[in-house]
Amino acid sequence: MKRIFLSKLFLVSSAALLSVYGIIHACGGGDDWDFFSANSNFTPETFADKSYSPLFLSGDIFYGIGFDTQHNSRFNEDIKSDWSTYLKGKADAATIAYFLIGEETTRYSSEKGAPQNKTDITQLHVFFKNKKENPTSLKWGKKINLKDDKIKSFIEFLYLAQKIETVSVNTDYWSYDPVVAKTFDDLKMIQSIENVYNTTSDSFLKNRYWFLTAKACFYSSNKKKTIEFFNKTEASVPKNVLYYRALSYVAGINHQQKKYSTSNYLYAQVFDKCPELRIVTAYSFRPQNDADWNKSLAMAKNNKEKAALWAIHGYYKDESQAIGKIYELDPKSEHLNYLLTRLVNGQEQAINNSFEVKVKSDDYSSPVVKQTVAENRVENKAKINTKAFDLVAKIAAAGNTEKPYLWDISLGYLQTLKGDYAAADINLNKAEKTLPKTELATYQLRLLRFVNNMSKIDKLTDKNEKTILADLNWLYQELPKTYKGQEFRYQNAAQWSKNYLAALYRAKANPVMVELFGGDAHANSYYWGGGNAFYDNEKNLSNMKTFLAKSNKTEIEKIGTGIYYLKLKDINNFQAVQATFNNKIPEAIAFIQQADSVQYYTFLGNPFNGNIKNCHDCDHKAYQKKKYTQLEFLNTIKAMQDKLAQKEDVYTNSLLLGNAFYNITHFGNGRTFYETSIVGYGSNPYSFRDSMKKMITNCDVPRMYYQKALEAATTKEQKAKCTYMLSKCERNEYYNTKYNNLKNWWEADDDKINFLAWSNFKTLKKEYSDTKYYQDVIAECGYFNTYVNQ
Amino acid sequence: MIRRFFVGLLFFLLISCGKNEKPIVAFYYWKTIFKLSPAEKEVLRDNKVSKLYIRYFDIGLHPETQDPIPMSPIRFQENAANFDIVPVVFIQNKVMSLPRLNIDDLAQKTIRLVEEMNAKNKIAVEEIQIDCDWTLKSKDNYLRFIEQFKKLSKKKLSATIRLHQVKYFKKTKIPNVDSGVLMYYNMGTIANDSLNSIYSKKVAERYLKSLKKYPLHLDFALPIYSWAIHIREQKVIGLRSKLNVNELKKDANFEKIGTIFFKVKKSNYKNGVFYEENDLLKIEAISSEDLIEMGNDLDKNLVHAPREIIFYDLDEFNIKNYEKNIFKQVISCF
Repeated sequence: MKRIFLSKLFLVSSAALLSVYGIIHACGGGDDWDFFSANSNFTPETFADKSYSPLFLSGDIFYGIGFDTQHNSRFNEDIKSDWSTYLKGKADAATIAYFLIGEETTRYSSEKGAPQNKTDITQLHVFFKNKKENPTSLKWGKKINLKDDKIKSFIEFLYLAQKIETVSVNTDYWSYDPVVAKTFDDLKMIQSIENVYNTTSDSFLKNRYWFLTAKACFYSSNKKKTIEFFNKTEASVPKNVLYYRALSYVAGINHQQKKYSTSNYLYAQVFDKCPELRIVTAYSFRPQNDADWNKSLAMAKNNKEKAALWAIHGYYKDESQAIGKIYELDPKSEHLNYLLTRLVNGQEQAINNSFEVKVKSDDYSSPVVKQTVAENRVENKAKINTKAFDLVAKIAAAGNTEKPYLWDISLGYLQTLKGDYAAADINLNKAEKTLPKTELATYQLRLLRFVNNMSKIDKLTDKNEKTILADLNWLYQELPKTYKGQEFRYQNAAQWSKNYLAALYRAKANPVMVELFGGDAHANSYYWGGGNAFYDNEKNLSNMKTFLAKSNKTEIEKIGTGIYYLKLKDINNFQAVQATFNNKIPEAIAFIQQADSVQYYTFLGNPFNGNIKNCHDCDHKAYQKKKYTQLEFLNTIKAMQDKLAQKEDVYTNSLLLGNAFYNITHFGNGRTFYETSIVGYGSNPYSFRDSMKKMITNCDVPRMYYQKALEAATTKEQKAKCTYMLSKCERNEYYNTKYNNLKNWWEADDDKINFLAWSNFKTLKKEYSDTKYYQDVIAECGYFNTYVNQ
Repeated sequence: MIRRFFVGLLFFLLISCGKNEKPIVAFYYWKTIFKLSPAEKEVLRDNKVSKLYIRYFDIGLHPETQDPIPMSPIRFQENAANFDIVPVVFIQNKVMSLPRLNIDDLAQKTIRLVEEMNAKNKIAVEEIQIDCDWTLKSKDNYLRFIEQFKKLSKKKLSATIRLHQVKYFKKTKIPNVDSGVLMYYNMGTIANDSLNSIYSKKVAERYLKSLKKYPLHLDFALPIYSWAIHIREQKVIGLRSKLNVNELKKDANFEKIGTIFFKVKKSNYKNGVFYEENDLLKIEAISSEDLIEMGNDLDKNLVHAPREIIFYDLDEFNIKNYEKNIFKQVISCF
């Protein structure tokens, strides 16, 4: 019963739809389509019944779920509760659920064979028929009274129902039926089901057998009979869920017979009366053209039926028109609620929350420029649809809908977006009086009030600042910790308010506050590890440090500091890295000591090693007697530099210093030294902004030390080693010019040159071919080996 | 024995024709029910088409469990046994992008389903084609899937290849298949601009030069489909295929603006789709001249001549847009 095959039910009830999806799945090749993003402050769940939620505005087919996911499970709860009431005192809920739904096993196992509950039902049926005990009857006989009439009726009903399921439900995704839709052609069986319907006096059973007859006909090859049967009997049938399920079969058959106006008319009635089927009917509703649609409208017998048609039509856009029509026909209609949420969410989609505009609007890669608050306001104001706005205003003023507060709060919010803040205040206050006291409604009102209050601000003053402080804290600090639900849409307001504040501080020429509230934190937004270019400017850096260190911050400064992703230690760390690359080691030591725990981070490999190959993984794996922390690393460099200044052991100290400075570049084994939130992250130099790319790929300092080591070398082995190390620097330089100076690797010239005969290669070959080190290089370095063998 | 000899002889003759041998015309069949209209049959007959690439099913993800599942398998309402059928399985890239994809299981299930469909429809096949727009992210899974599929299916295996996969094959790698089909379409994004996302000579030129370096044998798939891109407030909200331009021109609810755009003058339903006032429809189609241009451009950049030109896709609606001999004209470019 729970196993489903997606296309199956669609095909039977609405063949047209498949082709619609077929295009997107099969031909488009585009897997992920979604234009809807969460730039919304208006949570539709606050205002509309749950049965409408798939129909909320969304870039997906259905909001929140994408596609309908409940083809075969939609009525599970219904039938469980119906039968539980019927069998009260005769079987417990678990037993009933077992027979109806089966065991909760994995749904998509490809194992063949009938589920156990179905086998049990069949065996019990055999027992009832032959009156001869079998293992199943013996087993269940202990739990339920198999002689009881109601129990017997239950099992016998399921026995027949599951026969129909052999065609209505596919049990295995990875199997194939060569026909589009299997049909149930045991006409005798259908007749016997109908006979039970005709003869039983139990109204509960009669109702079920009535539905089962309709269902059996629907899945038979004689679909017309469903309609005949339905028309003949419907007057005597209670208008419950079963009735509307059967009515939707009738609608489906009409669709298949291309009687679209009837089909759509019926779907609309089911949509209206049966919340469980809202998603299915909305999906199946497909006028082919305006004539169809008008005919459906003409079929409506009264205002409510007409309103139902407009309600479902409104899901396919033009909510304003649908709202206007429904309001005229039936102002208390519940459908208005969901349509109004769509209207408001639709208006929101047009709003620019980023305070940025593209220089060229139709170019995806166009650069952007920042907007001022005033510019942003003008842009957004122009986007509000006046017709829709006037409609909402009119209905709100009349106050005769099911939920007048929904119209007041919506109008208030639209007024905010339109720039009429005083009017918005009035309507939000009006809404508050009758707003339900749920968490979601309370939050929603507070959020919209905040958006309105914030929107009033042109220029930040001490006075107007106070009107938003509590709400900013609520958005940034309290809600993320305390709100446990999923629905409430507050993230957009959180981001928008940061952008807004950044724009306000930009107008005040206060780069530090701009940076705190978002500014241009990620200069290289293309890559996640692009670092923060704000700190490339020395004045910014020192201003930010002063700001972060000061103790008498104002409230808003505290809020900004609270949400800022960097702390003083991060900036000190950055300065330490910069100083190291500039070979200003005492400075670097001073900074790293102010970088909290960072100074104790250890290197993954020994940063003083210089191997033939650049293989940081090998270096990380290699045995290390001593693990260097960043502070120890810098202190050791300092000690070596001091010795070097004293001309002590010049060769060794220079070589080790060369290794140390080499290893902290992109080519070395100690990249973690520079990988920080301000510099950036990444295994590829292109991940870094230009200033940092240059810093981490530059090998001038190690080259200087290797040169010194070469000059101080006394043996041929030593000289060979230094020469090779210098050639590594030369090679890196080549890569830097050829690849790393470009914007993207694919711009690089594909000349197939992987290496050149660098001058130090030549020297190594010419002068040191008799050393052991030379042999080691040949063994390990393929480039050199290739060069030698040319 | 004698028959085999003749087949062998025929093969020899074919080979010996060498360079002058023109590629054959084949078609993709991409609908969910296999049933040929009289016009479709006529095209197949006129062009002596013996080979059809039929989309058997898609593989996508179940919306709830995120398990790979087959979608809309094709049903045969007409005997296809007169043709050499190549089942095509379209795998959505998001399936191959799953981090913990059970590749063996998926390959087995896919082969089993293809075989089941063959058996139930009495179709014998010699080749299977996999269609997937794999990316750097899904590359590893995809390449392993192909390896596994080939091992298990024991059939000739081909795969569709996108232009970017030709140009950057060192990065995107080449699936281990017997041959590839270059999809000479989908050259842009489906967007609210004035470019054609199906074909653009300018875009194609950026890739053509790479063809010579591509190590895998390629046949070519050329587009004959058209569609309209439905745009609302600068956002693409859907693709409308099989939309008749002449009908649009006659429909008072639509107004032609510029060469490729229609504007909705009055909200209305058409073919089951709701068009709102001020929506735009951008028509993307391929002319006969485009097809000839494609043929010539491809021919100029070839190392090995293609054995087949496969047109996408066989549908009366598409065929009606061209003159009868268009397929022969295209073939004669090679």
